Amino acid sequence: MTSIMKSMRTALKCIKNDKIVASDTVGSFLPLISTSFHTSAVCSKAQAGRYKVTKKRDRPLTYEQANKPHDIGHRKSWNSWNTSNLLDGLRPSETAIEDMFIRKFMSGTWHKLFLSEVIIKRRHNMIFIGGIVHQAIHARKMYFLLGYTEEILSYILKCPVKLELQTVSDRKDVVFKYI
Amino acid sequence: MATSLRLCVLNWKKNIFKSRFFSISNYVRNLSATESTYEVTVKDSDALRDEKWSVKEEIVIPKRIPRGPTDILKALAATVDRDFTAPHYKYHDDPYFIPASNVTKRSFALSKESGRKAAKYFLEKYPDSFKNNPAEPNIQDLMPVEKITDDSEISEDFLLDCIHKVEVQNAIAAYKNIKEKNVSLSHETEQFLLELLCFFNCEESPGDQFSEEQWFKKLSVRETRKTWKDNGLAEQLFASMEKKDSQAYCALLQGRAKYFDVERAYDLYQKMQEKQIPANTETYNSLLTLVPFLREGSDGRWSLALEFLENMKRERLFPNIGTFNALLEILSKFGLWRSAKPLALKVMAEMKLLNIEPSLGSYYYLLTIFCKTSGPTSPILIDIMQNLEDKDLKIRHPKDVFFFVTAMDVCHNHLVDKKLAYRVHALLQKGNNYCLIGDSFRESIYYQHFFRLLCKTENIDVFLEFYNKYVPHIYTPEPSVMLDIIETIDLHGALHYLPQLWSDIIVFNHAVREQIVTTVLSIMARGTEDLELQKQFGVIAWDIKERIDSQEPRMRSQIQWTGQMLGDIMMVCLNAGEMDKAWEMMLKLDKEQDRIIGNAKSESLKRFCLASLEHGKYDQAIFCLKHAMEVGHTDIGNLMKEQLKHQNFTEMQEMQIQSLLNPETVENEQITE
Repeated sequence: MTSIMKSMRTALKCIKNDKIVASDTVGSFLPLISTSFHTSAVCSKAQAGRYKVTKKRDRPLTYEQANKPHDIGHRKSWNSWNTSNLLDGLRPSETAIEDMFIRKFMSGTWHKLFLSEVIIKRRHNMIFIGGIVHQAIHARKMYFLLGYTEEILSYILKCPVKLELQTVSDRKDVVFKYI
Repeated sequence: MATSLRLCVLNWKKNIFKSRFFSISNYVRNLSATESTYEVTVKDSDALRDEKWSVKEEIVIPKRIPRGPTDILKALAATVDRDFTAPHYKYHDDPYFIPASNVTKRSFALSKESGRKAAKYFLEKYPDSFKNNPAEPNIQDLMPVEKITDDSEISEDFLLDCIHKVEVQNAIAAYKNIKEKNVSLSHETEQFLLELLCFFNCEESPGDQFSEEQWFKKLSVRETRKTWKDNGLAEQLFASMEKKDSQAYCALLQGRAKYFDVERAYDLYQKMQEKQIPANTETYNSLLTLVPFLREGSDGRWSLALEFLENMKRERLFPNIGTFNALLEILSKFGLWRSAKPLALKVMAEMKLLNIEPSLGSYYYLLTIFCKTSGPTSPILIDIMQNLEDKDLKIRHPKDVFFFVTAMDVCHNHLVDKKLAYRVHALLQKGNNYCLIGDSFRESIYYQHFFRLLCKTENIDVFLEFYNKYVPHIYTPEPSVMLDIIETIDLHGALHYLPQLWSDIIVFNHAVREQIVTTVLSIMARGTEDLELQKQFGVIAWDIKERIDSQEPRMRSQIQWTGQMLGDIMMVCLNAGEMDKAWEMMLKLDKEQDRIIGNAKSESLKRFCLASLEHGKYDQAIFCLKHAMEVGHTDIGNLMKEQLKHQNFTEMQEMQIQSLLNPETVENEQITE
């Protein structure tokens, strides 16, 4: 068994270093490798969008977070809504970058206020930004931020931007489960 | 909701553009078809046989109505009425963001605009950060305005462009830049610039981008203060103009008149007269508005106005609505001069003769002339309403926005006519007429008058229905109006509306007003027969008590406890059968005597005595008696004297009562013992 493992290791090394099938030993083991071992296993382990279970099981998750990425389109939906990536869609890369910029802008401007993901929807020439906000500051101040965000994002992205916010009084209102 | 509606409109717009295109192409096709045959005869084989059926029908193609790009949106908007159940579109659609009180309405809208202004500030301060421009076609409003420096190359076209876009400061900078390079400008450009500077007094125009500030602006302290810049660029430009024609003179004169540089405007006019430079109608209009400043006394003013009119006639100028409104304004400032009314009617007749339709502003002046508070009652508003009813109004004169608020004032204070008020209100609701309400200040005065009038004259149930429709999204009653409503409810004995009103009072932040709180309490203290309602009153009274006790000491206007308020709360608690709470009030009344203003009414103390005797709580009754005797309500003593016979007091308690009732005799007895 140890000898098999040893030659396995060299084989993997060879594959890794692009020295494809050099020695006889490797060649004789190749069918074995391809059938019983998954050589790309480490790379395909998807980590994004999955949350680790804590020891005390006290990590709060929203509904969005509680559902895994493969549930997108089934039990939860997309954070960006646009037609850029459909056939003949316009500006796919620009849209992605802009959305990233909007998200960063929102988390910075509405500091520690967003309790949900920032949802960005593009309809016609407009951008609608949605989300759930904590009522941590006075409504008056939020109105200031509203006006400021809408206006400055319009100036930056050169199209009308609208905010569609909802508020909750308690952070726990959006918690779906603890893990 | 607001955004989804906007989207729907966008969708519709798209579809309708398509259909409009088709209808236009159809129209063009029809047009070309009918060009060859103007008359189309209807040929029917049967009809031809019978001669009387042969009809020659002419197809009349209606004239094409020119449409603007937003006409369809306007038509669509006209199909939707104001939603009374929702806040205004400018507010965000979430319970936390929906304002109820006047203060929050104002601060939310202004905060939002302030945020937008902050963004605008960054755009102007750091224009380089906003260079990225994916928009196609370019949207000028979202781009930073180009800064003009001394070095930048400015052409005359650029200056014209600035004038066209009403960018006053930029136009000034561009003009200075051009002048420094000693480039001469064409006469037209100079004239345009002069007009722009005169109109805005060399200051940046307020623009239409930030409208909330205009809407919530408090009325200016004195509208007639001189603000014209004596040595401003407008004056300099005028002085430097090589060819000073009539237009230039007119522009400068109107500028001086608009910003109340009265003397120099008149001087300029006289100079023009000397040099025989003709003026235009608008110039005469602004001169007419200055008449009250130029002359003292009604006769002098009127003769000067006539002089201007004569000059207009001599120069063959045709008057317009501005001329007549200026005349009416002069008449409205006459005070009690007797001939103001006939003269005003003459002016109106002249308008009719010249086929000029009076604007709302003219009617506003008529109302101020005819319906003076000290003068006799005049039904002129009824005639005005007959003229105006069912009309779609447009703003034609700056004073037009004064009409509705004044008309409602006349309905309320002058005529006290409910039906007429409804007619005025119906006119306001029609089409786009609501734009003519003016600003938030006028709107609230308008509704104040309307609500007060309905309070006085309308059936209480109808009134409350009206109240529920307009409050809180359209109008939030001010404390004084709220007080009127509460008193009306009391007058009609419709106390079942009181709990609802109280919750409104809390939402509108009126619960800190002493007058409202005391009125509500004294009405509730009188009690009703409805037991359920009594219970609700008990809850409200206790809520009031808690609110007053938990006032923050930082607050400027504090409600002070008065004896009467405590007595009233006690009464309400007793009516609601809450003996413990009433006892708490009694204790408070006695303990905090030094801080409480005045004493409770003897009725409430009496009521408390009887109630505690009824519940067999003799100690509490004796406590109340003691308090009453201390503050001097002797009738409680009489009451207890009577009760002595009917109740089973212990010997000790009887002694106490006796000593409280006649302290001297007891003391005497003690001495003799």
